Amino acid sequence: MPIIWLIPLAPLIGALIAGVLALTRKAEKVAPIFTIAATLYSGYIALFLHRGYASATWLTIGSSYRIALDVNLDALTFTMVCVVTLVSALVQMYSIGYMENENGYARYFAYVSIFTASMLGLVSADNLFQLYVCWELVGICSYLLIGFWWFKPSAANAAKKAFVVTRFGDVGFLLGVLLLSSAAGSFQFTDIAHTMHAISMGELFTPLVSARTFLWLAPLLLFCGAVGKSAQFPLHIWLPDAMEGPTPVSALIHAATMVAAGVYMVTRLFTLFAYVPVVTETVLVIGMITAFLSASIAIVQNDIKKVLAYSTISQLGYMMLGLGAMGTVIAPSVSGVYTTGQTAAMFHLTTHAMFKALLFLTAGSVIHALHHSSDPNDMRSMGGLMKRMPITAWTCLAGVLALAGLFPFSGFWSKDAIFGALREASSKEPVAMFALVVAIIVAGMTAFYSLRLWLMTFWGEPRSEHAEHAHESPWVMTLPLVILGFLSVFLGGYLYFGDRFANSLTGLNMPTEPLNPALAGISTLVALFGLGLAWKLYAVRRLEKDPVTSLPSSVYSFLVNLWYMDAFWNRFGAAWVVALGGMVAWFDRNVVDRIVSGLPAWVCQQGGLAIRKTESGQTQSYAVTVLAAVSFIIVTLLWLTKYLPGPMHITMITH
Amino acid sequence: MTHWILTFVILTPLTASLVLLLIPRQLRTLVRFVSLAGAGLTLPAAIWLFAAYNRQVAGFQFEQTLPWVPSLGISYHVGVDGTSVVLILLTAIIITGGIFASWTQKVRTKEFLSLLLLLVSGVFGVFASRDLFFLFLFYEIAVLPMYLLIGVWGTSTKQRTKEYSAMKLTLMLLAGSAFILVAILALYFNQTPHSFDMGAMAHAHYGPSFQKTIFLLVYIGFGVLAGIWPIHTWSPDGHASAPTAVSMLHAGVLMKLGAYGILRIGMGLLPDGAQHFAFLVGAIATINILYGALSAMGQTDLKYIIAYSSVSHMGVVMLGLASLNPIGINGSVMQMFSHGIMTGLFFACVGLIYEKSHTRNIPSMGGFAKKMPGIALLMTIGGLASFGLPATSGFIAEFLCFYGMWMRYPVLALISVVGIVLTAIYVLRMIQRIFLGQFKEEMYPSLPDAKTTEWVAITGLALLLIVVGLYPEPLVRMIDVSKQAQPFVASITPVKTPSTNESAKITNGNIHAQYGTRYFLTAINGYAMHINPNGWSNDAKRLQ
Amino acid sequence: MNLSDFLVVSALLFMIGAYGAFTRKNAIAVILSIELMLNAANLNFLSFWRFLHPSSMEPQIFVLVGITLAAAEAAVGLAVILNIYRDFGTINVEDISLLKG
Repeated sequence: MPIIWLIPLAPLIGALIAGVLALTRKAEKVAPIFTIAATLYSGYIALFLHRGYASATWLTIGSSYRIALDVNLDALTFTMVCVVTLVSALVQMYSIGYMENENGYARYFAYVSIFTASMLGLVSADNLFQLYVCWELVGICSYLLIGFWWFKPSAANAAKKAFVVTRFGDVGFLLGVLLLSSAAGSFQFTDIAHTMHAISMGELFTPLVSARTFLWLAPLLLFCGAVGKSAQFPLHIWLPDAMEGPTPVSALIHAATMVAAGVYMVTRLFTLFAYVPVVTETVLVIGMITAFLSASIAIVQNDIKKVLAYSTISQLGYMMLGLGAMGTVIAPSVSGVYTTGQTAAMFHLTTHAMFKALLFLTAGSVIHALHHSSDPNDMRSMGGLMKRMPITAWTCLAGVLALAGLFPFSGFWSKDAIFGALREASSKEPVAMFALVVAIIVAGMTAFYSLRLWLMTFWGEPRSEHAEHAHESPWVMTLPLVILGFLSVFLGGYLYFGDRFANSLTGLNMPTEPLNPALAGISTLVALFGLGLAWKLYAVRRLEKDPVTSLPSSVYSFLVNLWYMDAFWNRFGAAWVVALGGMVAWFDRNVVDRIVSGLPAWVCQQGGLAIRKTESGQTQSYAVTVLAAVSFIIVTLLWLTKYLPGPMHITMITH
Repeated sequence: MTHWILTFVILTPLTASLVLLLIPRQLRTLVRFVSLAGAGLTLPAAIWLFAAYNRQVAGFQFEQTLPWVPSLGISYHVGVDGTSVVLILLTAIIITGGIFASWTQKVRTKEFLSLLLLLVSGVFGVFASRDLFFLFLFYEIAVLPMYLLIGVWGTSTKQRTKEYSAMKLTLMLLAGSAFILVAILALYFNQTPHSFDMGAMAHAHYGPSFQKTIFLLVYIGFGVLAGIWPIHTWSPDGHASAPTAVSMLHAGVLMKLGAYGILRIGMGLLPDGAQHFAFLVGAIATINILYGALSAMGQTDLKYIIAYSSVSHMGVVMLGLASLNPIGINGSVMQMFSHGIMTGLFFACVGLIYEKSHTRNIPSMGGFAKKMPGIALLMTIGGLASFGLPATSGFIAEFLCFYGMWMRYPVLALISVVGIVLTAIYVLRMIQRIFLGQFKEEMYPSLPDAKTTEWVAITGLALLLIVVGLYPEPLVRMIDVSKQAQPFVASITPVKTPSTNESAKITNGNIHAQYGTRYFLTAINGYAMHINPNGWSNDAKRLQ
Repeated sequence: MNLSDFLVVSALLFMIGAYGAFTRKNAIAVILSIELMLNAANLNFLSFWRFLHPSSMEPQIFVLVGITLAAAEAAVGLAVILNIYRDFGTINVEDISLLKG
């Protein structure tokens, strides 16, 4: 067996070991050793092999229908594998400290390791089937981990909500898979890309829909899956609730990797998206709405993890903006198109994975320090933690500045790449111009809320007893912070210079368009403005009351109520489905059952009542009936012999 | 060459059932072990069948024919193809699990187990019969004991008494039998020489209009047992009232008899009829899927949820059958297997929960995972299989069913796929409301986890779900109907048919003109494509 | 005298018997009527024998057996009526009805 298979399988083996340890409830504490080693080993293999391909048949039906499992380590997968294994290993290391006294310690690591395996399977897929399989598997891991503290009703609810909402998107994704693979007669990406091309050329008939419809329908169906998984508007509502899970899980799954799966999928299958403008425009518009909406909500949140959750949604919106913008085509081919928008989105995905994981882990560190408090997540009862937890504070600041996109932190470079792609697109497409403006405004908002988060948490004086007595976390937790902090500062610049990232992704050695100084200037200014505003409002004076509450009350309540999106979905989604279930159950009981078993029963009963009259017990009336019946039969038979030819006639005569 | 293996499988439970009657009821342990032997011996036999079946040759194997009433064309003729083997294996697994699950059954144990084993030998008989007379006979043997099993050993629910449920179930199934009998006789009389042998009937050329009528009869008759809408209403009441092992067997195996009958008789012997009514069958299956899932959502009684979920899942089975192509039918048989195991697991877990908490009312539960983590884990696995999560057997089964249907009636596939969300909703709600959240200590002072024999049953079933989910190849290879040259199976027609209709073509220029020059199509305008008639060549591999 | 005359008599006899059996309320009268019908059948039998197959003996045997059976039947019937009279205190057939219809 080629060693490349171990990329997804090693964490699975780690998970099995951890699972056994969890079942035996002995030596639980050694579980992370196995899972971390397995994760690092996956990353090591990827680094060692760099490129590779392996494929195995999983299922065949007849002679033509084949489902394969692949590990396709190409440039894109390589990038993702590095991100996933790095963040996963660091998060697991961090969890050793964070989850120390929890029940189900080994179970936790087993779940995380299964997740890592599924995610690696997802990114190394070379066919739609495997992509869909792993897509669902990471979803269920997310369910299990959000609901890790299952005894909390809110966590149980959040887990269910996360899974069901993403499943809505997955319906579209599944339909897209069916549509594309049945047209191609294969699940392999290459075949599907070629089929799509052939359809656009009019060389193939499409099932169900016309070729023209197919070209936009298929990619948009796939995009539904990305909307669910990457928490895009209007299915973004699950991600903030998912913060009920342990914080390291939020860092790994709900910030760095799983939620980026949608972006990865669109990038991987971008060749399918690039045929019809309406597809990329949809991606663009959805990304734009998402980025703006969630950034605005993040401004008014007081829960430290909720701020980060909305920020994550917003940043994912950025990535979608990049994809939707397309920018210029760098490497045209049927099976692997690369555009500047794609590289920008992937670039942002990579840097975002680092700094957002960092931010979540620092938040976790703070929560860990305050975990005796009634609501350890509430930033209003924090403050002044800078002196008490310096490593956390400084690394968090690095993350905040990276998120704010300040030069020269990581976020700056990747965000600017997206702006660049938007600018390139805007010359031909007005909506991209609009999106660029929105994106720049969002950059300012991002800078504001990220520094607000930091200042409310670490600056000033402690605003509660617990914050007063907070202590720095142990080294297993701070070491990952330092590593991620280092990456948050330098990774972006490192990958930008010499076009390292773009070239490694496209496999071409050509210079991309250099940074546009005007655009970079504008975005830096906007970011500085956001940071300055936050500084002025939150750092200069002693914080008595959250300044954002003094926004006009209509605006404030609109934001605090999350644009009424949750309320909308609760009222028109959840409530209606449940009500519909009740109605159908009632209908089944009272209408269908009444008709199906009630109607025959009624007919039998009425028939019985009617015929019952003849059973009078009067023998003589029975005899009359018999006589009448026999007479009737005889007459009928005689009559029949007259008209019917054949044997019966003969029978009557000869005897 | 005569094989006794199938007769052995059919007769073992029957013999055990009769032997049980001779054992004094005081010897409870002996009673249990005899019944375990009666059920358990079929399991190695079924596994042997599974292993020994020659997949290369396919078709019917292990045949045995004993003339019974030659003058009427009745013979005891048994034989199995891949589908039957899989279903026999399923039955053997479920009945063995069922015996374990009813290990602690206390009321009239002997009679209970005896009837259960009688029923099972009927089920084995149906799956193995190649003769319609015997198929019908076994079918009735499988159906009738249910009346007593539910009527005597069942539990009344809030809405229905057990007697009502037992009677409703039996009457509806018998009504279905009437349809089946008419259909069988029609098939019998419309071929010369008259024979009940299915092999002979397969070569009788029934006329198209005859086929349509008879297919409908078969569809309705077996459809009652398969739980097709709207004649499924016996199933929720019946399953909810039945004792654990009976629910397991009934939802897990007996409902498959219905689908199997439609597959074997309806589609195998009446291919034209099946083709004609495929849309109807598919449409009703779609209704089943959505309707069952929505109904399940509206229940508060745990058993009713599972019962309605069976209605929904049988919809998936029928959806796969209606596709009439190898992918869909393979998926359908896979779903029969998977749903059998899954629902067996469900009912076993529900039985345990009921036994220990004395309630099936979901609103009064919550946080049970604290006290019964094992049951919680295994039932969650069942739930995951139920909504078709990858790595459980439910996934590949449903996927193939949807895929098959997509190739035949995409619209129906489109609608029925919504079922995967609805299923996820009610399953996750159920799990949440039973196991998660705060545990009400004062309401349930003692709530033990499962015991030894119970573990055997549910752990085995759950493991099977995962093993099959991870590696379904052996099962699918076994079932693979595309090898059996069934008359009803349309080959997978490649959709990749080059257009011959000029007007349907859209040219590159068209799209070019419409969408301008920025788009990818134009960017690769000069790209040379190599279209290989046998599939796409890989020479245009990704750029690395 | 030919066959049809006998058949007419026999038919008349049968119809009278049938009319009696269906309309009389007295159980003994009903039995008497049934005897009439039996004898009508016997007469039919004999007339067919006499006119169509005079050489064979079987019909006579049949008729003799029939007469015997009729006698036995009358005996059983009377015994039944006697018991009914003991239980119900009447032999009016309309009153002897346990089925309520």
